Order: sequence, then C-alpha cells, then structure tokens
Amino acid sequence: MIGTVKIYLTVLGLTGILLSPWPAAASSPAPAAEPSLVRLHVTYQETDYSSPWKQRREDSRSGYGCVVSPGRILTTADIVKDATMIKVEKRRDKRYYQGRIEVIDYDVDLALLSVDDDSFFADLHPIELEERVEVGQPVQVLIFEEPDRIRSLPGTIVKVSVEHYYLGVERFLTFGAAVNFEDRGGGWSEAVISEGKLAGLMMTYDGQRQYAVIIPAAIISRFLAAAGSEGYSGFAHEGFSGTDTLAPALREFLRIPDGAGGVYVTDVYPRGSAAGVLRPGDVLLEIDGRPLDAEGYYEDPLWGPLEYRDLITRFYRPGDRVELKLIREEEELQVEMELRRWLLSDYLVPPYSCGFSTRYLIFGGAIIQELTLDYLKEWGGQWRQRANKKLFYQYYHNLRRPLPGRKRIVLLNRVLPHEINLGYQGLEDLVLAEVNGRPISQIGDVAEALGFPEGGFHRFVFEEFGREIVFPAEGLEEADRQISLQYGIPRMRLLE
Amino acid sequence: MKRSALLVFGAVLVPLVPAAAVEEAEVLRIRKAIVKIKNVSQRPDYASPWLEKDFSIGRGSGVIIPGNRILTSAHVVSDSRYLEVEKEDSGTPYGAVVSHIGHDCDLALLEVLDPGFFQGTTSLDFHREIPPLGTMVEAYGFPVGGRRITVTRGVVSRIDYTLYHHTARDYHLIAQIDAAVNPGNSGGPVLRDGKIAGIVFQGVQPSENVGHVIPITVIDHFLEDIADGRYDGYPDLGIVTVNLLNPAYRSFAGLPEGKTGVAVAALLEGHSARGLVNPGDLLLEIDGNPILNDGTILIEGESYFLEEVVERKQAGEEVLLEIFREGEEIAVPIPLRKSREPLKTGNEYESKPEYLIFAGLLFQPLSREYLKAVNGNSSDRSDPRLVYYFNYYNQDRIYRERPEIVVLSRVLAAPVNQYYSGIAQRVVDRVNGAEIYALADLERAFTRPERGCHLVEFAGGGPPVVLDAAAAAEEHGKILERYRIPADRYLSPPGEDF
Repeated sequence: MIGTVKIYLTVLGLTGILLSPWPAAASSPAPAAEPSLVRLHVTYQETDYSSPWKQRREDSRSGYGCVVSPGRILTTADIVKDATMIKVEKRRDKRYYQGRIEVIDYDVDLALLSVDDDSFFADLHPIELEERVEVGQPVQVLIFEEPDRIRSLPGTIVKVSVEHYYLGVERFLTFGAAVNFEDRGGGWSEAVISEGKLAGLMMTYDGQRQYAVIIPAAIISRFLAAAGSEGYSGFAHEGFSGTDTLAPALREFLRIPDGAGGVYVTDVYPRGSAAGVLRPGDVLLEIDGRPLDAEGYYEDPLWGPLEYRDLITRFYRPGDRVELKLIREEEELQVEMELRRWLLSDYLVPPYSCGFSTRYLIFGGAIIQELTLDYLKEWGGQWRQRANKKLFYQYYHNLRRPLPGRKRIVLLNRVLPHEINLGYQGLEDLVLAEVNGRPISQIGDVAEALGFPEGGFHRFVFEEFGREIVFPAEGLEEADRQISLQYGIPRMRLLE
Repeated sequence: MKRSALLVFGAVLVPLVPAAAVEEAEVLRIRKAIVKIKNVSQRPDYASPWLEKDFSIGRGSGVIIPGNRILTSAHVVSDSRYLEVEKEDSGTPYGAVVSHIGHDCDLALLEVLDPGFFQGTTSLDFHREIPPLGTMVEAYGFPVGGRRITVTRGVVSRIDYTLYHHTARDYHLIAQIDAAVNPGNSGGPVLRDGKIAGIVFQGVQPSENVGHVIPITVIDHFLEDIADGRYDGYPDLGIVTVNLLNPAYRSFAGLPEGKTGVAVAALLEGHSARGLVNPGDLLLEIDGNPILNDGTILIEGESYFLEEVVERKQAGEEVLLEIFREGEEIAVPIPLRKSREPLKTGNEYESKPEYLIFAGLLFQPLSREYLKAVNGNSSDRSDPRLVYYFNYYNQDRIYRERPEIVVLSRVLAAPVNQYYSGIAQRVVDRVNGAEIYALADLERAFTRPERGCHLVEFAGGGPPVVLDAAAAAEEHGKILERYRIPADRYLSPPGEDF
C-alpha cells in the first residue's frame, strides 16, 4: 500500500517537473512531507459582540496541519480560532484524536497544536523547513483527497512581498503563488512544499484569480524559534509607521542628502518600540547598518527589495536592540531602540477578540463594553458604511493610538429597558467619559468607579454633548437581578 | 358651501375624483387659482466647484394668493435659470421670477413678469388654523402623469414635527394627509372649505397615499418674515435638552417638587441661547407654558415640542424661559437672532461653493454638499475622519478646534505636485506653520513659504504635502489653464450666510 502511494507521488512529482519551466534536478516530491500532513476538523463558537453575554451558534471548519517538531502540529491560527473542539486526523488512520492549542499568534496567523494521545505522532515525522524559495520556483500544495489519497497540486511562486495577514492588522512577509485548485476552495493552511520540505502554509486563496497567499517558511521558523519552553516570546514590532521620501521637495525640505533613501516617520505609537526614541518628522536612513531606500525598502540577499518591516520582524526578536541612523531637524543622529513585542493590549481598538470573550458589564440595564473591530463587524456585510461613524473613525484612524487617559474606548452599547432606566432607553453607541466623577480609560475603571456612588447616585457621563444618565444606588441590585432574569442573562459582567 | 355632498364620500381615497362630485362652481373658482410651474434649474458641482452640473427640468404646482403672488414650495423653484407658470387650460406659458424664497421652510413666492397673467384668475385665502385631525381636505395640483388639474381628497391623519427634506436639517410642523400626492403636486395647495390649509411639499414615498403638507403656522411665519422685503429665516434656541422622565435623574438634577421640565445638556454655537442658558440648567417654562418632563408643552390642548414657541417667532423677537439654576428659579429672556453655523449641515441652494486652488491643490470647506458630491451613489468613498467630523461637529465639540473644517479635496495633477496625485479628502491642520481655522486662512498662509517650500500638514498626522515654492508660483496659473478653471478661488463675502 505504502509502496504504491510512493510511486504515485513520484510520478506526479516528475510530471510537475516536466511541466514547469524550472530546470531543476528531478527530486522526489514529499516523501517526508506526506507522513507529516494531518487534517483538522474544528468546531468553533464566536461571541455575539452586540449581545456579549451570548455566544453565537457553533459552526465547524476544516483545514490542514503538518508536524514540524516532535509532538507539535503547525497550522494557521484562523483554522483553530474560537475552537471548542479540535479533531485531528491522520491519513491512514480514521480515528479522531483531540487537538489542543499550545501556542497561538493571531497577528502572524500561526498556531502550534499538541494531541492528547502522544502515540498519534508515532509514525509521523516532522517536516523540515525550506526558507530559500525564489520567485519563479515551482512548489506543490498538498491536499487530502477522498478516500485515502494525498494530492499534490502544482503551483509557482510569483511574488515575495510584505502584506497584511489574514486575521489581524499587521503585515509580514508573504509569498504569492499561482495555484490552480480546480473546483475546490483553498486557503486552509495547506502545506506548500518545495523539494520535499515545507516552504510555507497557505493562508488565503482567491479562486477567481487562482492566486494564493502563503506564510513563508522564513516566518514560520521565526515563530517556532519564539515558541520556546519558557512560553511564546512573539515577534518584534517596530512601533512606528512612515511614508516614502520620493518627492524632491520633501527631500529638499528635510535636507536629506542625495543618494540617501529614508523613511519619513509619520506616526510613533505611544506603546510601541519607538516611543521615546523616534519622533514624527524623523527620516530613518538605516537600521543596524542596513540602508533603507526612499520607499522604505531594504535589500534582502535572496529576495531583493523588501519593506523595512520585514527586516525587523524576521531578523530580530523582542528584547533585541537596534541602531538607527536618522536625520532629525537637518542633523544626522544615531539612536538605539529596544524592540518590543506588540500586544493586543497596545491597540486602542483591538482588531480581534478571539481566544477570549469580549469584556462587558451590564449596569442598570446599560450594556457597557469596549470597542473592538468585532463590535463594528456586527453591523453586517456593509459594516464600513453602516457602523456608527464615530466608532468606525476611531478604529480606522486611531487603531494603534491608545493614550494614557484612554487605553480603550468604553461605550454604551444599548439599554435593556427596565423601570430603572426610564428615559434612557433609546440611547446607543455613546462613548463613556466618566463614571461617578472618575475618568474612564478602560472597562475595569467602570467597575471600580461603581464602588463609589456620589450622594446615593451612580452617574455616567458620555462624550457626546456631555450628556449624563443617573441610577439610584438603592434598588439597583434588585433591578439588575430582575433584568438578568427578564432577559435571560446569566452573567451580568465579564471583566477578565 | 354645502357640506352634504362631501360627506357622502367620507374618507375614501380616490384619485381623480370627478369634479361633478363637488359643487361645480366652487371647484371652477378654485381651479382658476392653481398654476402649473416649470423650472429649469442648474446646481453647482461640489466635486469640481468651478463647474455647474447639467440643467434639469422640474415641474410642480402653485397657488395664487392675494396681491398677484404665487405661493409654492421652494424646492420646485430652487436654483432656477428659467421659470414658467401656466394657468390650467390656457396653453400659454408666462415667464416668472422668484421674489422670495425660504429654503429652511421649503416655501417660495413667485412674481409673474407680465401682470396680464392674472386676468381671469382667482386668488385663495388662508384658513387661519391648522385643521384638526380627521378633517377632510383636498389637494389640488398638477401631479406627474397629467396635463390637467387633479384633485385628490383625504383626511388630516397626523400633525407632528418632521424633517423638511429640502434642506435635510430643519424640523417644523407638518400635517400629514392620506390623499394620493406625488412629486408634481409639490407647491400646490391643500384646501379646507375652499381656503388654503397648507402647501403639499413632500411625501414619505412618491405615489403612496401619504403626503406631507406645510401647515398655516409655517406659511404665516414665512409671509411675516418677508414683510420687510427680505427672508431672514428661523431663529433657533440651540439648546440640547435631555428628558427628565427618570425619577432618579429628576432627583439628582434637583427638579423642585411639583415642577416638570427638561435638563440642558449643551448649548450650540451660533444660536440664540448660547451664553444665556447653561448646561445643567433646568427649563421649567417657555413663554409661560409649563414644559413637561419629555420636553413637550400644550398649546390649546395640543401637544408640541417646546421649540414650537420659537417656531412661531421671528428673529428680533424674544422668548422668556423660566429656568431652575443653582437652587433658584429665574426668568431668562432670550433675544432671538438669526443662527450662524460655520459648518453647513444642510443642502444648499442659490449658493456658490467655496473653494481655493493653489498649485493644483484643491481646498474646500467640509459641508453636507461636499460629502454628497464625494460619495456619489455609494457612501464608501468618504474618508472616515470627514464623516466623523461632520456628524459629531456639535456632539464632540469639534467646532472648538476647527470652526470651519478645511479639506484638501484632491490634487489636479501637474509636475509641481506630481508626488501627491493620490491625496484626497485630508483635513488641513496647518499651512506653512499657520493654523487653518477657515478656508480664508489659506490665502495668507500660502503667501509665506518657509525655506523655499510650502508645507501642508494634516489632521491626525501622516505625510505632509511639500511643494517647491518657486515651481508652485510658476505653475499655478498654467494648471488653471490646463484644467480650464476660470478662477482659482471663490470665498463668500463675510457676513453672508445661508
């Protein structure tokens, strides 16, 4: 049985080589990859962000994983997001095993799973990574096909660039590949193989254009290196954004020397690596001796010009220090920056809430929660047009700008009608500024402020027109109890 | 007039009721007062503000009132380039002009150039009160689909505040009737006992049996206002109130026992009560009318929002507010003045868009018309910052930092600005170091380049626009020529509003 399969794959592999323009030596495709490919069946359940005490109906999705180290399966984070159960399946063994998430990074869309039964890994060997893959190179995408086969679909790497990853809002290195999935969908963490080794995982697939976006092995190896025994240490984040210095008038104005490139720093995020180090208006010329051109590209030895973000994320770790050469107020400077990780808590508006429920608090029938991208998406397919204009603006323009006095945007979602909130019942989507005289920076502040009613009242003040609503301290507990019963809300607050 | 014939038909909705159903002489008299209006209008293009859009032809109705004047709805005759009126069955159009127009109440008066037009016509008088609910009324006009006059009949089904769609920002009373009316009816009268009870002006949807009528109170306000020869418009208190329905809130706010009222949350810039009324005040009475906890008052037994008192007054008059402030009841007179708002939140008419072009950079003030032009048919092309500033200008006190929100709308490509061709819809913070609070500030700011460059900085940070000053000066005129722009700016003279 095994022998037959191997021959079949070899034939396919040879065919792939014959058809491709790449004059490579004949190498047998994927004998190592094949045993390490697994199938994942995930049941997941998302929170209803407009009624945050509720979960939506559970649903399921399937994808792929591959064994990358003893006892560890690599897959994309979007496959296992919000999982209530993960079933793992090997090709020749029809049993389902239970998978568990050991490490997950939503920004880089990668996850490592373990399996409850260690014997699962007995006949699977970890696949090696191949980072050196070039544009024009053929690759194979492996998929399971019923009843019991692995298919290898041919593809070609057509692009290497820094792009937005699927789940979060951060950008990392990607491969773009032309792949024909025939009548199937794709983009479910399929293994992308080059000369028998893992070149990447497929993150998304556009069936119309037959174009796949792949997480490259170079990023995967950074992820695996960060997933050490002391916990996951994450990726370095530069903590600033910038724009090109192509316009001659701009270069003249900033006195950028001819021949130098430079990134014009436009934004320094308050909680990022560059806070206190770089300033808007700086022109960044070099990172650790590597020059940046006028569009912010550095020269990668294999792939040519790539955005500076790739340099930071791939070659450095949180805790590393880098030397920055820049021009500030017409003078050249060298400064040192310690690279930090960028955490979910560093966003003003978290771009995802998966992995944990959204924090909320219901008080006097008023549903208080923090603004997240998921909350905006509750406005449906056209959420960019239909969502509340102020909340959308905050996400769009201030995503990475929490301030000391405002770590999150705490809002009144809406009011569950009850006698105690008569007169307030039409209010919705207002931003909370103060509770009981205390300014609100994040939702925990609300809970704390509610411990200190003033003169027998709890007073909520909103930004919009400074309008306020007031609840009597007395009778509130009973009202909340009634509201909880009336509306079927088991937990009136979730703050952790 | 005999009523019995009308009662036979009750509240049945029947378009094109045969004239024989009503007293024929009366109907003939009425028909001689109804005119057909044709308006050729042309609106400016707020996306390319030196241009006008194509003209369009609209039709509506009007009614002759004493003094050889024709009363109609403003939206029938707005932005007019050519105006014609015609009597029923005469076959002769006459040229007309708009003599007075009130966009904030959607009313207008026309004059016919040839006074001979009025031979053989009659004029109708006004019914002095808003018809009570359930009153039968008739709408006369020239709705779409007919060349001759049409009369439809229905009852007054609701009297309430509603948005007047013409400006999309003004609220006044309407009477809602359940007679079939459609766009051609606009400007035509609704009659009760042969007298004008209102002017048909908008519907919930075209051709449905719900029509909105401008009631006599609004018409009176308009006619009183123009008595001095000029339309000044509705003054506004500009008080943002909050209801006191919640007992805990009433107690917290300190509303005295036995009293009712509303709490003041904020005062709007540029409106009459600013500086005289404070946030935290409780409004108890307006002109002696006690205010209920939901913000309503009773006038002759009918419930209205407290603003109705102001609705019936002109700029220059006064309202008296009874206010509870810091434990005391005080009487505060509020002189009513014309409202001024730097941000134009309504649709604009008979106006020229303001703009300024410098070296191909097109600057415009943020306004409703601007956003409409940018969005086209979908609303996903406007920058979220602009939309936020527009919608929350008052609520979030954006006016404090930015009285006028100046936008770099787009860039007319030329060598001097070629690196910035993609820039659009950015809110301007500073030009050459000078803070920009209004479009006019740009004129001076662009005369002061620093170090041979013009620097434009935007709200929220982000990359600035830097132009070589010498190149800008040289190319400015050429860009206007290349894009066939007759003038590099239009700024409305100071003191002119609306």
